[in-house]
Amino acid sequence: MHLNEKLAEYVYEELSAAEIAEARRHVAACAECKARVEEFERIHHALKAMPDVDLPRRVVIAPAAQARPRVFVPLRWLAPIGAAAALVLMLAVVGPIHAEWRDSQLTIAFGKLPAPLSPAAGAVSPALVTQPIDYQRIADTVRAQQQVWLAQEVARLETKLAAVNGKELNHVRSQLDFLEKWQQETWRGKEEITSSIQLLARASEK
Amino acid sequence: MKLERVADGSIIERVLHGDANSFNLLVWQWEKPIYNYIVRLIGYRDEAMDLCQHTFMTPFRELGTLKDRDHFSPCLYRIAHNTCFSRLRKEKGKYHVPIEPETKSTTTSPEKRLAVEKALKTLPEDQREVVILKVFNDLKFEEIAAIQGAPVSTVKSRLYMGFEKLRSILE
Repeated sequence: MHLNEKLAEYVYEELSAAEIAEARRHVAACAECKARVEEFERIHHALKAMPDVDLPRRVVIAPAAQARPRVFVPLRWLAPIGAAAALVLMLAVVGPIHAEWRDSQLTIAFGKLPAPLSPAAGAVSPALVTQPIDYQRIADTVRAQQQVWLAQEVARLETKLAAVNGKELNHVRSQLDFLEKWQQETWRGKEEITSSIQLLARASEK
Repeated sequence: MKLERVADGSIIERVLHGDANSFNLLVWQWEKPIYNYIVRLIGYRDEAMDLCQHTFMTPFRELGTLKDRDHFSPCLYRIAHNTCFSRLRKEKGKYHVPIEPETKSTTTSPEKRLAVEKALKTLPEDQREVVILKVFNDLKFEEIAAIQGAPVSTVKSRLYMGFEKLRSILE
């Protein structure tokens, strides 16, 4: 009985001891199976002649360097966030702030207010009206500015997108595909050339 | 100085008991066979290095869930297999550059090796992987079947078909 599908297991010695002994006896007597085994081993040795390659660098796992979660901040939010941060910083630096709401107009005064002049005797002077800081109103103002800015950005981007018609998009995409393919082919060529040089160098050393 | 191999299971025990740096000893023991497996399957050395690094990151993170600590390498090969085939699937959708095999083998050894290397690249990925794992990585058919998620008979069939194609190319 020929080896057939047990040929590979015979060559790689993955049969039981009894099966290997039986297969050996058969191969010694059967010219066809002997030729197949020799052919199989020839291909195996031709492949095995390909040397292992060394790693270009060591793989090192750094346990302490755990990946930090990425904080994703869309670019379009950077400007309003920066503006708000600048405002907060300015408030902190400038110091006292005075705000006054009168006749539908917000008046904000920074720094110390001048000391009130002592009224002349008998003169009628307007009373200095001071109001508590309305932080809620300041926050609402900043938020309103952000919303205006965002609306402008969205409108600008929509206009820009509308201006790019489908034909131009396809043209850009095809250019990108070409560049990507060209890059991959360059890498592939580099790998083959490197491999050839290494093999030829080893041969010349021998 | 030549370092002696340490049993995978004992290294894993050390890592799980808090000595996380010992994992690099495990990496040192397996990086070369895993890297060469990836290089032969993918074909690009630079990219193979990245995939190799990625292959070792997964078991490092999930070492505690490993059931059989004395059989670390099959798990590693399985991860490498998934990583490589995920990458090969991505490339398949983009473009395909056929590699023309050298139909005539030559007498000088380096040229013959190059011919074999090129011929190996022409095999379908499933067949190429079986040939690589069997010939270069010395894995058993059952281990390859577990890596590929295929019956042993299919794995053997892939090996025969791969060898037959290589024979016809190299004749």
